[in-house]
Amino acid sequence: MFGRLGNWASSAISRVVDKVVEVAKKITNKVIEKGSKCWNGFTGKTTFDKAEQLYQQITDRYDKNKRDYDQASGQLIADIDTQVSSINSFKQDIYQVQFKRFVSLANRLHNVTVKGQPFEELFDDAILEAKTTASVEHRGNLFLIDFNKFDLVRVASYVLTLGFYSRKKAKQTLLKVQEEEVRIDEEITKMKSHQRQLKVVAKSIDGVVEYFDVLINNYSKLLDRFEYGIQSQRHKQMVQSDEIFAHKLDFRLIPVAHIEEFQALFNLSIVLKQMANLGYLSESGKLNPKDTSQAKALFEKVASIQAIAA
Amino acid sequence: MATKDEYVQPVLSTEQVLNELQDCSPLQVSKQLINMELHDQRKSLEVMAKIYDEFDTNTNLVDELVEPISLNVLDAFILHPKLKNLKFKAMGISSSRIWNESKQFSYEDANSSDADPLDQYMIARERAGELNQAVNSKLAGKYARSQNDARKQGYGANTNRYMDDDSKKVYSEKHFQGRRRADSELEVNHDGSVKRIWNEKKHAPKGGANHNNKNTDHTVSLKEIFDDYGSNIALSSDDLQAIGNIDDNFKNITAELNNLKRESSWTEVKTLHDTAKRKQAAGQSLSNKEARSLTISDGTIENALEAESLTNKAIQTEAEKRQLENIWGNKKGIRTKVAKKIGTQGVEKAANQSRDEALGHALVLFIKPLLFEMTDIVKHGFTYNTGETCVGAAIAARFKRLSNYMVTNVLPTLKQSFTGFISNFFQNLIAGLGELFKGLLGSILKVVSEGFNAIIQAFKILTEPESSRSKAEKADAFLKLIATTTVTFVVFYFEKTILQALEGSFLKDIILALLTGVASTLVVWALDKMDLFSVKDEKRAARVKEIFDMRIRQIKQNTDAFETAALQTLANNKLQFRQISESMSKAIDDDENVNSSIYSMADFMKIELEIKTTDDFMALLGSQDRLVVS
Repeated sequence: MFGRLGNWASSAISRVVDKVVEVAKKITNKVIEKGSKCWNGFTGKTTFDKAEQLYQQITDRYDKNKRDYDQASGQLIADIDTQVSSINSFKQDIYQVQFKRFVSLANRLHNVTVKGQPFEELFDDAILEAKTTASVEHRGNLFLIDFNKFDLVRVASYVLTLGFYSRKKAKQTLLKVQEEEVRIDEEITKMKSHQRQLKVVAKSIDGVVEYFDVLINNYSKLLDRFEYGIQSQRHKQMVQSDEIFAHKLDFRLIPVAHIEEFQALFNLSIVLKQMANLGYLSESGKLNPKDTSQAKALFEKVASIQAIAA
Repeated sequence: MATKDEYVQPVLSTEQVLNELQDCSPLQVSKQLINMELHDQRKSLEVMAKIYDEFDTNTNLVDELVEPISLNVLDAFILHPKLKNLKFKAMGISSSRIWNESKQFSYEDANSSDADPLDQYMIARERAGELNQAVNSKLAGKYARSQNDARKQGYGANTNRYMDDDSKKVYSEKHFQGRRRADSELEVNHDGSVKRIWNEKKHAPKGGANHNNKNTDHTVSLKEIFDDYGSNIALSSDDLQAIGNIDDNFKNITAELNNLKRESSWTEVKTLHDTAKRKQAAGQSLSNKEARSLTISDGTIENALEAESLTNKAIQTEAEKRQLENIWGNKKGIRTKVAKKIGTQGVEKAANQSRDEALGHALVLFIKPLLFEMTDIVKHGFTYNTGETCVGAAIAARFKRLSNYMVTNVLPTLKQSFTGFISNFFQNLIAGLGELFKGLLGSILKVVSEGFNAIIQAFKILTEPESSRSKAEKADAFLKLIATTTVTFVVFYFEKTILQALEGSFLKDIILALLTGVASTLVVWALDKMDLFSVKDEKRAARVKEIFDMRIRQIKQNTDAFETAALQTLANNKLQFRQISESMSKAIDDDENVNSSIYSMADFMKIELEIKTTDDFMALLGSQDRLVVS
């Protein structure tokens, strides 16, 4: 019984193979590929086509989202950059202008020093960029079977395995692409979430700019008031004494209001100083590697000059 | 199923974010915001890989299918009415018990309680012994020693219904080898030396019949053999003759001794001898026979008894051998004759039945290791724990293990006669199983294609929800469908050997069911590995979707929480700042004391100011030469 079965099976298969060879000879590749629905269903090509379509869709979707994201985040980062630059210039202003003025004014009353340097924030764009995105997997990893590559041996193998193998592979391919779709959705969601995060950060930096702006303004106004007060006191003193170049005013002799102003300025200076020394986005003085190497070169130059000079 | 916790995103709630943001100064808020993690840093690819791993190691197949299939087969076996006499139920052997024991089976500790049921085989064998008595003793006829006697009894002129034949002469000639004198085979003199016997009476020293001429004695007399085996319908007259005249039954002794022994057994002679000695010691008078028995030495009696026991065994073996040959061998002649004689197949059936029952018991002991091997294959693959790497060698190793187990643990517990048959049977079975494995797996594609419709239906059944069909029903339906395709294979591999040997026996169906069960299990294993319908892949894809959907949801939730809290905080901060700065501005413009606003601002910014009052400031100015802003 088994023998007969074997014979039948082998003759049936060879008949089919002959037929396939015959057909292949007569018809071109395109026709067989586009073939009848039956053939496609049998080999699993319909499933494969679905997979290809889906793959194309998710690639397009991912690319579009990535483009949008890149654009939007690029814009946001540029905005933040501008704001940070203005903050930097505020900081400079605080030291170069405001504190200078304060020191020179306060000197009439008492010696004042302001310690420290403004902290110029050089932050790396990388802080703001999204930390991980993986793009769509390479096609080769997802597609376990490729109907686009047509050759006779392949077709014959599909027939001999009664289409099991090719259908199974096509199904697996479709499943893998569907899984990939979900994974890409996660990536896209991550991108969108990051975008929102950036927006919030931008807003917060705007707030900081406002702090600087307003406070510096107030400081300046306070300085004006103080200046006026000091000047008027000086004039009073000058009137009362003979010397032209007056020494320092005696703080015990001036009205409390001015002391209060002085105190206010003193405290506000502390506040401004703190503000000026802070990094708003980066942890600590992130040194630009270029700067360090430049600094090193400079130091060496100085050392060599000193050696010559010595 | 791994817990979902492994894939979970960290959760961010609005309260959490608010707390974190409010704890720090408004100046630090931006930093906090940018550093907050709204999702875990695990790459989505890693997550995917993890899920794939989870799915590669999944073996529920044993519970789903193999168990029900095996229980099915075991039921067919144990509950078979024809095997009722084996009293499985009374011994507590049931399908589930065997299945459970097979799960814990290990080759190291065989010989569990199941060894006892084999004692039942004794009963079966005794029943075979009943053959001797169960039948009409008329079958035996009358005892006749020689052909003449037989003729005198009324049997035909050419009858063969007599016990004696020429073997005696041949045996004796061999013993003497042409000499006149030789040793007696049994007798020793009182001093221990071997007695001598003469080949021919005329050469013997004078004394007539009582002298030392040889008699070739039948140790077990022909009459006794006739009485014991004559009624056995499985033995023909030729058989009886042959049994009586095996070499082991002959001993060359003196005529004197033979005359004393006649048709009694040596045991009886010993009794006589002992009685005589006792009487002599007691001083009583002895009969003639008793007196003569005193001439026999003790040494002779010892030899004789030893010879008797050996001979008994030999006769028994010979008788059984011939019995079995007649029943199961190809000598159809005896069977049909017998059948005619008693007009029914009853006795043959009885003989077959005891054989089958013995086989049944051996099979029960065999099933356990077989089931163990099958489930081991399905759970761990062919090569697990066999020390082999290629599948073919692994199969061979497994069956060798199985056959060793049978030979060392099961077969020795069988008694005598059936051992040969059963050992042969199992060798064929195991060899056939090995071939079946190889053949089935090699042509699994053919099996699949031939049974394609069956398999489609089977898979539909398997993937039905639990409510519509119970597991056992599913397995049953599955088995029935697959069996149709695997039976052809089974029949092919076993047709020439086992199935033919069991022709006409009810065991044939059982064995067929057992083998079909084994083959179906193999198909199930192969189908699972091939995952024809991508069932596993689909399950995995569903799980991937599930996990990623969960993660995406969580990310969205986190982002929402973050955004809400952050915007809220920023708005609050802005409001506060504006309030303070406005009052500050106003104070400056109105020439008022600005200090309170400044302190508020510093508090708002969480900056510590040491100088809290004007007096402190004055003191500072007084004490320090230089004011430092730091």
